[in-house]
Amino acid sequence: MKPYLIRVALAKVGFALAKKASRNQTWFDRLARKLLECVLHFNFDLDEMVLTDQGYDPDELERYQRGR
Amino acid sequence: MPGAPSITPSAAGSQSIPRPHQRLGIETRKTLCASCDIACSVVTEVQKGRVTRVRSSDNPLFKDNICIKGIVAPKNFANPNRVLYPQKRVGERGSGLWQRVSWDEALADIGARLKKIIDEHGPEAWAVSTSQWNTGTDHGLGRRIMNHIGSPNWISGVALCAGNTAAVNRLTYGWYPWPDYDNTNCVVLFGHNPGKNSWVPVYNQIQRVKARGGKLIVLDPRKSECAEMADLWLPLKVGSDAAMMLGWLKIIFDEKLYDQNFVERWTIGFDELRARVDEFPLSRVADITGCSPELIAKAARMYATMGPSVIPWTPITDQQRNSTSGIRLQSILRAVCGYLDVPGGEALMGFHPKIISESEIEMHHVLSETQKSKQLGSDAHPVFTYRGQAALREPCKRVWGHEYANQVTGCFMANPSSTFRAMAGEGPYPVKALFSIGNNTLMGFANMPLILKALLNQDLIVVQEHVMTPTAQLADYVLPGDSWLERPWMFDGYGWLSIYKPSQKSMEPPGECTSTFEFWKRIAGALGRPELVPWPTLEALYDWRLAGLGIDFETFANVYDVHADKLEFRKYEKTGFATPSGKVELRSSILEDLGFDPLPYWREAPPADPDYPLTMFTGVREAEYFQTGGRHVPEMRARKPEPVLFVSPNTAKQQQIREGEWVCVETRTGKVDIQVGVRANMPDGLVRIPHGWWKPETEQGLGKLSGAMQYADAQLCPDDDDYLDIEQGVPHLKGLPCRIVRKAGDPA
Repeated sequence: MKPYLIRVALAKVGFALAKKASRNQTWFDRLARKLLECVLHFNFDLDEMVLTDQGYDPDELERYQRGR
Repeated sequence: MPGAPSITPSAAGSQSIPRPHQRLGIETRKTLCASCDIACSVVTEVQKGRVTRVRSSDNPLFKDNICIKGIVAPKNFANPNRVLYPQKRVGERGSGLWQRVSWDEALADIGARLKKIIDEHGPEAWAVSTSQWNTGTDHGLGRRIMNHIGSPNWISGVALCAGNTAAVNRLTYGWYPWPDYDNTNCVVLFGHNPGKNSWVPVYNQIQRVKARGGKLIVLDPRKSECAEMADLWLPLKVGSDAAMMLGWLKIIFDEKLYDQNFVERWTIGFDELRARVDEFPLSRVADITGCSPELIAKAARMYATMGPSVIPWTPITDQQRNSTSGIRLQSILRAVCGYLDVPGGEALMGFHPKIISESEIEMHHVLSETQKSKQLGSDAHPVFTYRGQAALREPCKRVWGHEYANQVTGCFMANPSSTFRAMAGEGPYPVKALFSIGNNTLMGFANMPLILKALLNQDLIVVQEHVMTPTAQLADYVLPGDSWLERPWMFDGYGWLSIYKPSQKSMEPPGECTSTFEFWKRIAGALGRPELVPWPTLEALYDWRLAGLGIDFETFANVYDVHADKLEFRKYEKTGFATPSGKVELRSSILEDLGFDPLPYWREAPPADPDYPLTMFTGVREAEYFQTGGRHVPEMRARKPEPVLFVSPNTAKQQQIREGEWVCVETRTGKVDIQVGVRANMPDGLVRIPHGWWKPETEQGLGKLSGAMQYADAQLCPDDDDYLDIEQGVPHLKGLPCRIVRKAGDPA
């Protein structure tokens, strides 16, 4: 395990990076976001229904709600 | 059951990413999904005034935190059978005869009848049951009104699902911590099985931990999906969590794998705990748990040496005969191994210093000590009642700035079973009015026959719901609730984390559906106490809560995805812990003062029942549904059309049952019809029963209750002393004696 102070410093750097990356407005924010996207990039195990979802047609929902 | 937000402390303070419209004519809104209790950050797409799609957030922190329950939400809430207008019962209770009335008519009558009940029996004769998620959080307003009126009898499903975990954790170190998944090296799952459609943010975090080389330990009688990906799987006997952890501590203490500096400086009761742990040599633990001494030792060493490790919340340990000891032992493992409030461990977050918490809104201080002492169940099972948490008031004020921390809404509850007994006329005083808010009370707790008797003995039942649940079918009034698509929301981490996330309103609610804010505001007015909810709108309430930040809710929702105070670790070095001693209480002074064993212990099951030779494991959520909800959504019913039990191939052969066959599962409490599912990953002799089944499309009214009388697992679950945890009075749902009876024909 890394020394405690190093773990605290790394956690705080990650925290700051997340704040910057999320704002995503200045060039530095965008750089931070790119870094975060690289760090967090992952092909999660998603349900096929989620992967292919395109939502509903509003008229279809209207008809469904009216029981037709 | 309550829930986990989809961020860790390291995401606190992040701001939103600008989201251009994805397609011409499609507006997007930043939203929190409340299809379950996790509050995933999602985006809604709106066309022609309707939400037509729910997709995952654009913020990389929340990437792919979405499941099938979320994406079908537009269809869920367009349900043609949704309750859209207030309904008043006009026939006998449970007759199914209703009359549409206006909100004003309903509230005038409800107010008059509730006041009459309070005049005759006292304010404690009014109980409220809610789980806060189905129709959304009530912002603490229900408790606020009850506290001013004088009723302590608030119950919830969180009594056996995370709320009780929070209350028990507070006994040890004063606050219920949250795992820092971003920095942890080892995750331990006690029976919990997050997956691609259940607790998705936690599942995604576990995948990340694994991908960077972290360890996963899973304790589960069956080889679950998480057990399949685990570094270590311990197939323990159902309900033996506490014994397993006593075994882990035996290894950790004997081999000096604990954080000796932390234990010396920050704990009390180590020697007594060590003596108790010495009563559990691994041979004994192996007998109780069914796991080999070598496997138990290997897991204990992995947890203690590969850390920082985390033990995320689990509903499994919450629902056992030894629940209090089990939850305490999880707390003790965190503490003695030095994983409290450190990076990669479990964070004690406290209150946000500038945002008004729901605990403050609830105003528990105005409820008199006399009324608090009447809280049902506080005599025999006090841990999560006012009485059980009273000794934490001063320490909580000292460390966290407020006396009452109602974490996960579970720290000042009445005991559900005691409340139902009082409702049924078997308690110390009568309870004659029940408000059930998005809760389906009948099916949400153990001993459904008792709950049915209790409901039928009420003078007034008021339900706020989306659909005619079995509980709603027994009400005097059913009032229409809005959905998470149709209201703003400010998520507060359930008082567990000091984080706040905004959710924007995406569409107008249909019919006369309203928020729980509106519900409670109108109830306050109907009781002649409009000053209790002085804010004209929900947004105005949020503006008031956010005033310390210097922004209003609209700005907050536009700017932030998530907001929290700064990140700090080992805060206890400045303040001590929020316990009576100021230290981690391995030996609990509170439990001792309440007359209980101050150390964790193991309580054996009653002798085997020869008439019920199998063991049942219930309370299991299916990925397609949340609790008792969602059976009306066509896409979900197509995936999971019927309740299905799981048994091993050997047990199926022994019982002479086959895949897809309808059988009856019976206990001494009741019975249900259910289909058979033969699963190779099940241990022999164990029957796994899904939670919360009813069929909204079938006959309503007393007798059938849309299939609740035929399928609901709550009918199987006892709540007598042998099957209750002593200190909390929560039911033992993991390891009940049962039998399977073959039946002819198909009852569906």
